[in-house]
Amino acid sequence: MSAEAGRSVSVAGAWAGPFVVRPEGAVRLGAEACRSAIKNSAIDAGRIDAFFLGNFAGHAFTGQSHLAPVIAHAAGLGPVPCTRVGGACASGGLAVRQGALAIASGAAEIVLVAGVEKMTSAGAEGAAGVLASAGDFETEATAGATFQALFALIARRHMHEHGTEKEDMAAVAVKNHAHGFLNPGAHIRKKITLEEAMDARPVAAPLGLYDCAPISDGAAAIVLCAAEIAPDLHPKPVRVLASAQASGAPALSDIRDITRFGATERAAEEAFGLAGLDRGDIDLAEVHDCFTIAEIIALEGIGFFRKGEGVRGAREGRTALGGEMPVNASGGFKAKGHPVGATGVAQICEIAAQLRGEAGERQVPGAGVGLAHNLGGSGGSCAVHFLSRDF
Amino acid sequence: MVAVTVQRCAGCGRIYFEAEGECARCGGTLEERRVSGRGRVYSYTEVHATPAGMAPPYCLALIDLDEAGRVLGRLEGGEAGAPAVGAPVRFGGLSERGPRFALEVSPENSDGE
Repeated sequence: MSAEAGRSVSVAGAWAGPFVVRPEGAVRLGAEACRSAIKNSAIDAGRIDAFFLGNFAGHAFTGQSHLAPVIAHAAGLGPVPCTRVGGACASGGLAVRQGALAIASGAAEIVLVAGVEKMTSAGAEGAAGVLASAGDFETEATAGATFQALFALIARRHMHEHGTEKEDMAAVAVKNHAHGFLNPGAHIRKKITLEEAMDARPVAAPLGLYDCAPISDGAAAIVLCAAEIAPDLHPKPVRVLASAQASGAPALSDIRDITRFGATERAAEEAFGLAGLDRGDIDLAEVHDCFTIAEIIALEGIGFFRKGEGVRGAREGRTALGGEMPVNASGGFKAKGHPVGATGVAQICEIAAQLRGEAGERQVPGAGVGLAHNLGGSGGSCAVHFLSRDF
Repeated sequence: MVAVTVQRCAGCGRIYFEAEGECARCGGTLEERRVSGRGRVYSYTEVHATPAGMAPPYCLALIDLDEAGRVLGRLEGGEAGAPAVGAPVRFGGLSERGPRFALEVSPENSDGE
């Protein structure tokens, strides 16, 4: 989606988090995010033409399915079209894209997009079982391959092919924890040392506890609108420069080189083409770090680093706040938290806050263009969005 | 070495270790292949945080079968020691959780694929 493909789209109101263990159910979390994003835009709920909800597995986690109209009703939306978008951990990013497409096509002028996941009520083992179903159930979940195990297989192969070390993955965790420490909405606000990350108990070797994002509850929402009316809705509109999506094989045994995510590479290439930008034009990025190795591979797949060199981002401080292109200034999934369906929408909220100069202690000075990369499963889905300051 | 009969989908390449009428995933035709059961470790992990009802730890590996393709299965070391990328393995049977493989006792058990 781009200007050429239809009407230009902007982000008006945006609201995310906090991501943490919360007592409320998915409906209340989702409705709270929707009302907050609407309040953050100069409109009332009656102006919204359609609602898209990113949600991975509401039914499996909580028993409640059909969440889009249920949340819309709780949030006071009218009888507008409500659609749940499911793409595992990319559900939020895919929902943002559906919202943007609805406006670009002319079908809608103002769209509300939310993401929500209520995970902690399922317990650690229960949540792990639901997450494992994002891969290939028949060959992977059945064999006892947890989601952590799938990314451990990826990490081990990356280590073998590129000389990546456990310390390189730990450096990603240390960086994202340091960023999350500055984010009041982060699930884990705790700085860690390289030694703590290296010595943490193994989850699926070579991945340890600090290589994995926590299980969180939370929701996020944004109001998207046709770019020409954006100044009426928000004093600092943010333009959606590109919205791209691609897919890949969902089973690791079907992927020739598991150290690459084809969906990331295809979606990123399409996004750069749509926006007419190069890697050097990006000021900051929120990339999918469900595991530390995932951030390393995302940086390679998007093209910020050559294959096998993604470790240099955190190791050399280039992707830290103050570095040449901060990555996961929010703390990433690693520290901000990972309520699966919400995270892709929250990435857009973080980029919008950065472009608006409202990111507080974690502000990237002068940020003009940001990238959000959201991956589903072990590479089955990917959404990439570019946003720019438009005020 | 006991040879093993596997079925490989002509459409999507999925490998089955027990007889099926057609590919459960894509409906494609399954072709029978007599294979040695030998393969090499493409990648592996030792799983410590396990799903409900599965005792930790256990080792899972992606195995490149010499004559068929890549499969995910349980890997058992035994006397052959710790697994490594590139280490030779042989098929060790089928469980309700999929194929099992055993590391071969061999000087080649190194990280030098």
